[in-house]
Amino acid sequence: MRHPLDFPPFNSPVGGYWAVAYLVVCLVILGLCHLLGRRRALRLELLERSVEPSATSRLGARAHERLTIGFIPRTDELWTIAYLRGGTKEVAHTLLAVAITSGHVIEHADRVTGKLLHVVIPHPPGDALYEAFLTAIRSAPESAYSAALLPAALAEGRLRNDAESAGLQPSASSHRGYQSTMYIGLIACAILGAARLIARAWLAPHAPRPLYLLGAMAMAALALSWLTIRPKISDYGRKYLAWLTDATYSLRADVAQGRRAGPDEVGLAVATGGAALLAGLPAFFVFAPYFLAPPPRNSTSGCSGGCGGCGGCGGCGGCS
Amino acid sequence: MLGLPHRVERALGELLAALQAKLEGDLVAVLAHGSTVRGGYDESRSDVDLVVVVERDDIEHLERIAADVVLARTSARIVCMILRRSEIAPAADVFPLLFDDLGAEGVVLHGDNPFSGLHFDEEHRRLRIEQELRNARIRLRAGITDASAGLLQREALVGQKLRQIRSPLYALLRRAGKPPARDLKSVVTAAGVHLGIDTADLLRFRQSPERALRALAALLDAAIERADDSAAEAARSVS
Repeated sequence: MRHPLDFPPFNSPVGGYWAVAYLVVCLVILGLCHLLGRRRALRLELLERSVEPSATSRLGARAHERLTIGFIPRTDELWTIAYLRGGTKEVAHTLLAVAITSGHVIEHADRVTGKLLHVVIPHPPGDALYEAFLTAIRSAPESAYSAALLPAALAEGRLRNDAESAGLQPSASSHRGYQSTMYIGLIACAILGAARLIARAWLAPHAPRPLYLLGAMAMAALALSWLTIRPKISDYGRKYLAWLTDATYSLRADVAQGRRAGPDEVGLAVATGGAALLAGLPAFFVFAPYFLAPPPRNSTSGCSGGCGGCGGCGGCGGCS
Repeated sequence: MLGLPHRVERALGELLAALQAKLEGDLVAVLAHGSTVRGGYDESRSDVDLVVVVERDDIEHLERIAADVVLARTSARIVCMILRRSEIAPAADVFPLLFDDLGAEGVVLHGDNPFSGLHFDEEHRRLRIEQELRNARIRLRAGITDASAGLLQREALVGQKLRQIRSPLYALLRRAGKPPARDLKSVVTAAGVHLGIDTADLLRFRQSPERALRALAALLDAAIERADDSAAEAARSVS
């Protein structure tokens, strides 16, 4: 009796080449599914977002559209952009850059200890994250950098939501759309592999175990699990960041050269290009101390903080 | 369009298209001026100076083009000066140098040149020359203190001031009947000859910013004195 799978390529002779061919076919299938899945996810992202500016909607547009291609972001959008680019550390850098250039935070030498402290001066109220940062400086004036990291870390969930609602991070539904397309590819690969295993068991029952094929199937499954990890930035987010990088090309150069020093401009440049661009400024020495983390407190004795007036902890004759 | 780098030309084209689409009949003219048309444009530092002439400048019109104007500046350093058509002639007495430059060398990117054919009073022109030179001299002092404190690079300061004084120096030379070519190097060299100041160090400001700074101060002082002298001469000739 002829087996239902007794036809090429399933009835090919036993050998490693089938596994290689299988792996290639699986990669092609998964690659195609990946492309289709991305297109589907992008369509879903745009449907959810529904703010991709069309030529007609922008013709008479007055209102600024948040985190949208074609609109240079405003200060309260910078934190989300920085977060998208480099996580909470970049948010902290951007907060510092805005605070320093707007003059809301200045350095001040403590009269008693002579230590340099960071002081918040009266200013018009900013958004919630910025105000949380300034509050953190008031309670920990030794390091503006540490004070910036804390509210940035606390705001991570809010920033993620903001990025997701703007379509810059893949939403759960758009990612599900991508995943479901990928699972179709996985099922196709699994059917192909299973068919070969069944045909092989029927046609060559005494052949050695199909280790190569099982290895290839495992590799295809691994490739799929890697591809279906939810990416940090959506396709629209990548497009937006690429647009923003191009749209701030001259601004970043001007900030790096010290030609533009306004808080919004410096904040935008740092959010899109990182704090490293401030290193080229002639006045970098003004900025540098703010970006320093405080020295680690490694004292385990009970006298921490009690040696300030001795010129260091070493020569005080002990704290006990 | 202006022979600028592709990225800048693309941004310029997008800005013009946006202005035309959003302002429609209210867009009177767009002109390019400055180093982009005169020569000496440097992609890493030069602005692309545009003058956008509109019929109406109410807030709604400006808000309509705000995103495009800001985008052009941040992406390609395209800087727009927005003027209302009806204010050009009345403002010719206070901006005679700029408007004269625009009429003579402005490259029209849209519409007609509204600055050609404007009349400029010679005394207004002299006053503006003196005002711009004195302004540059005052700001140079502030720049020197900033540079001494390490907040500004000396070569950047000299380069910036040289670009600022090109126009009043050119106008001063033209008043003296010795107009040079309009590019920065020709104007500074001719001004040095006319005022008896050695400008060799000034034009090599990147190599020797310290000496350039001294030459710049000397050139400015001599130019201000000459601009002021011509007022006194005019007063004497009247009396």
